[in-house]
Amino acid sequence: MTSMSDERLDLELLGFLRLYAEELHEAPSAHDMAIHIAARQGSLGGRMSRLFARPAVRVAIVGLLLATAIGAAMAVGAWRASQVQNGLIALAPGVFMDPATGSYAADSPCAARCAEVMASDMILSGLTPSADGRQFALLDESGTVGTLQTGEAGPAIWRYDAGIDEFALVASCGPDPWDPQRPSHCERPFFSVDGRSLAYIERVQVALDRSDPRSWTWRLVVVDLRTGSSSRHEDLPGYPDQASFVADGRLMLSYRPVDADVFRNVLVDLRTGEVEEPVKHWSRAIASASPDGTWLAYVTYGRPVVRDGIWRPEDNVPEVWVARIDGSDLRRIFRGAPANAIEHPPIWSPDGKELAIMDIGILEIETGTVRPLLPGPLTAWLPAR
Amino acid sequence: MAVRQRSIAQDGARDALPRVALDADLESFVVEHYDRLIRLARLVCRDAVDASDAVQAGLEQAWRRRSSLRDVDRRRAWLDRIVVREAIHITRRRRTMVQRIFGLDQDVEWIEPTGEPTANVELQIALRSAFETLSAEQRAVVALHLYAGHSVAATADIVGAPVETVRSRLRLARERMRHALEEVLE
Repeated sequence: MTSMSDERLDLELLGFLRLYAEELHEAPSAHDMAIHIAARQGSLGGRMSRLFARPAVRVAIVGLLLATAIGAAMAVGAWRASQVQNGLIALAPGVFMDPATGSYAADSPCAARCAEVMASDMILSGLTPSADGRQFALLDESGTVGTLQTGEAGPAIWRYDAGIDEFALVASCGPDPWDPQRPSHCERPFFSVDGRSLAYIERVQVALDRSDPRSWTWRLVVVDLRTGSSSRHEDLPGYPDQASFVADGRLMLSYRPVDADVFRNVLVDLRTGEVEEPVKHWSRAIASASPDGTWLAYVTYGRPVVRDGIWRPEDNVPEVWVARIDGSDLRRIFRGAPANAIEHPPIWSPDGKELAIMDIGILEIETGTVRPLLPGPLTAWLPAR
Repeated sequence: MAVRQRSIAQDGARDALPRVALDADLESFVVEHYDRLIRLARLVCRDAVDASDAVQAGLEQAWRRRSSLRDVDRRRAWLDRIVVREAIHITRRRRTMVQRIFGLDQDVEWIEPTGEPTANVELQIALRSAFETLSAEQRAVVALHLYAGHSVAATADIVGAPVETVRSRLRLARERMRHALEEVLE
């Protein structure tokens, strides 16, 4: 069969289109339409639709809706943060202080299963609560949690859900490639501000000669707690004494550069690798980010005391400073008496209003008043149960 | 943000039309263009109610902006442009997300013509099925060029697309309609 010519096709189509266009059984008459249009010209609905038809009004409405959504999200975040109340301070394994009474606590900071773990002599150097206080991350180098959970002991990072009193394995940790005496190559687990990710540091051997400092390196492992997937980030600056996430998702690292006497505190964007140093004028200070990731605090010395050409740490005056994460609003909130160098990072209270600092005490940020802190290695300030 | 207008066709209560002072100029303006525009919109929308909505919205816009049109000779193309764009907009909005994802479309509605020979009925069914599978943009150029008689360049101006795009839409639409016709005529 030969193909139909364009002229014949167009003729057939025109006939069809005329028939099709006539199917107007539900359409109003022209007179009815005119009446309706006239009515809408003066009606509120008509005026509103003309108003909304203006691009500027549409942009304004979209902006208003966005601002409302952002405001609502911030209000919900602030409300949730305000729900977190300060609980016990973990001084050492099984040893807790009640900051309300200033004495040792007889109670455990968590429910039955957790209390059993907390009371054991496991190493609690890596105990960190999430910002909302609903979960803890802990590095269990002795395998205590594994023994209690499955009977299989081994160093691992665990997540404890305070709501359901359950531990969940985040990562098993093998022996340390750099120091065989250390049972785990993982350390310092910490949560993202939104509590959806958990990160930890992993030491990695890159050469056989352990005496060579270049034979090992470290990387950050970030685990998505919803999916269980993890990402590894290498070539990050220094080897951190302190690591935490801040509110905008960047990583804050405190590290001492090789052969340097002072710490550097930098913010690293893990997506771009961009490094920023928000506050540069401190010395000998390890900074800690607040639970909501918007402020940082550190201990430093106003002016290093040097006598006879020798730096005298016992004569230095410790000062505590806070600033917003971007370095703004930097202010000194405490100045102590001459003392030995204090290199412990401040530990923020779960509500973000106080700092617990070894050798100084419990410091209220707003007023600068200090309360006594009981002695101990001081590992974490846990939210109230 | 699209503002859904409450149209006369949706009201379904033509007996209860509002009592308003009907401007004679407005009435003559509507009457002059209504029949042509409602048929044009019907071809794009595939639905008489949607076509009424498109024409109502288009005529309202045109009435408000009538002073901006200096060249009266261009009034027809100007109105066609407003109504066809409104018809395309309404048709797009009618397609739900599910329809967009799975390619489902409205059921082909067929009103049996009376007194038509059987072969012609089959032909109409085939053409109708093919026409309703075209996109709103393709139906718009077919309606403007083949039905309303606008040139390809004028059609391109009305729908706000390059001439080559209009030619391409027409070619694709013709191929689909030709295929439907030839299947019946084989």
